[in-house]
Amino acid sequence: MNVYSWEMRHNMKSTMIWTVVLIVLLIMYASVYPSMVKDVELISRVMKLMPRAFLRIFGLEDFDLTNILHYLVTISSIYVTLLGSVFSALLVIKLVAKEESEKTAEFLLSKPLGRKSVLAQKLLAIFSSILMLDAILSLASFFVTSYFGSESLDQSRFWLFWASQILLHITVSSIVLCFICFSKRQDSAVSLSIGIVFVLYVFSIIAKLTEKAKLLVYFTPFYYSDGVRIVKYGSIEPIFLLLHFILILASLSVSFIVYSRKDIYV
Amino acid sequence: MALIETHDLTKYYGRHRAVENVNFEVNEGETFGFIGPNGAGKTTTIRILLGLIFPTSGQAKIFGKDCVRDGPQIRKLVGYVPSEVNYYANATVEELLGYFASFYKSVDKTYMKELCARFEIDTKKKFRELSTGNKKKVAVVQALLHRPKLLICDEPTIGLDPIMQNKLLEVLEELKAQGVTIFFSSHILNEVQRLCDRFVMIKEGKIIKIESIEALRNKNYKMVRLQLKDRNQLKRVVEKFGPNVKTKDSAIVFEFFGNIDQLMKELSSLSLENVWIEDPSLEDFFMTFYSEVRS
Repeated sequence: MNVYSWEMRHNMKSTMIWTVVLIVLLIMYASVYPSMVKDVELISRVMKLMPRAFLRIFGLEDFDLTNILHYLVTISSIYVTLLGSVFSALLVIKLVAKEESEKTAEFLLSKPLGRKSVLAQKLLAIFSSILMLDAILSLASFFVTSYFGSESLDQSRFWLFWASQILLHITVSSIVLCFICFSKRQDSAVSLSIGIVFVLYVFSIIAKLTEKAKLLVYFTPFYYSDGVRIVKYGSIEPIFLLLHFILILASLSVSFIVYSRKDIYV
Repeated sequence: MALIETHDLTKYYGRHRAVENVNFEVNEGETFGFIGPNGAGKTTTIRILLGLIFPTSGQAKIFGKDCVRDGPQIRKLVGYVPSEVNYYANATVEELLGYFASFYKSVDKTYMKELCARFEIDTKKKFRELSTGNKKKVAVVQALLHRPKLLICDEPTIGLDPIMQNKLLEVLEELKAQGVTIFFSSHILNEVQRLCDRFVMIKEGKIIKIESIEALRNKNYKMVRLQLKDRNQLKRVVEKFGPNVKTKDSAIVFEFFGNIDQLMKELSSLSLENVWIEDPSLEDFFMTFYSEVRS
């Protein structure tokens, strides 16, 4: 487990920075909430004037803004769902792709450790960091919500939302890992992985926007873990849960197979 | 017993051939030179031995184990000094050494400190702050700290100043005396001559020749360059040193095989403006060798 503890030690700082920044964003958004509640009539009138498509993108259609959980989840679709996924993707870059692009793989892989063991320890470090970020963020979110919210919080929906986000981040990191293992050189790893994250995110928006693109919902984990829907119905559909697990398992098994047979050019 | 053996080792990068049908054996306790110009396939061969890349066909074995299948087991007893050193730039040398050591079951910490002291490494510095030479020194310590049975060096003296080069060669000589097998890739002939028992030459991905250093010593020759005071003496030079005398600008150039003492005597009979007597560069050496192989 020496690779795991090395990676944890050397990535703690950046994980903490991400966590703090996201918490600050959360507090910023939440602090606006009380004033919004005061003008709830005005806001709902303004919202009626907006195009339906616009509302649909942000899941604001028939949304109850007086409920802080709904409010929180709506804004979270950007800062937790999207930024959290970017964090997960960058983590994979840092731990796996950089090893090749900065040529340190030559050292790591000439040590008496099999490729699979190296990748498994790195993956564990990636998942641990994601869990750490999400755990701290969800706790902060819990306290902030209790502080700013007027009525009591629906706790089961709140934690279900966070579980869906953790699952999403794990799925995203697995998909990005799979792409990285397949690419021969890692020069464009950052743009590739951020590109994947945004394309999948846009898929989920398109899927929400138009009935015609209904099939698209199955092709993006962002839809599986769409917070607005989950909080609205209080559950994740089993099919999406299953798809999450299939995606994670498939990406990881392909990654392990490819990585252990891959030529490392440094 | 052969410690390293390769059988028809071949590696293609796409269509480009990196090495082809490489066959050689390194015996236990031997210091084995691996010489060739840049791009000849030295590093490719080493990377296959280390399991960083996989052969297209053929096989490489270390300690009788297959380099593809038993990589982790093999690497327990192998130390590797890369030609270009890349470690985690933000870590301090101390942290790095701790990490290096954590890959092996038991590492003698006093031996590690001894090595650091010997190479005058400042362990408090961050890796990115080190000069090329100092990075190389860290790589050498890294390769030795677990007391490997086989040391693979890819142009280890590059980037070191002459004093450190000498120190490194001394350390390698000591290891050799302790029975460590050394696989030494280089394009500097002097080092190979000083250290190695046998060597193999590789060019354009193919092994040209495997020979003992003794044979190389007997092939010892000098490149001689003269500037004569009087151009008319040219004829005498040709008479003395044979037909391979060439004129180049104002100088006369030829290869001299044989007794140096005799060369000096011959030269003293000429009136010279200037004289250079040099060891052949690897290029010259290769040309001579290569034409020999072809004929």
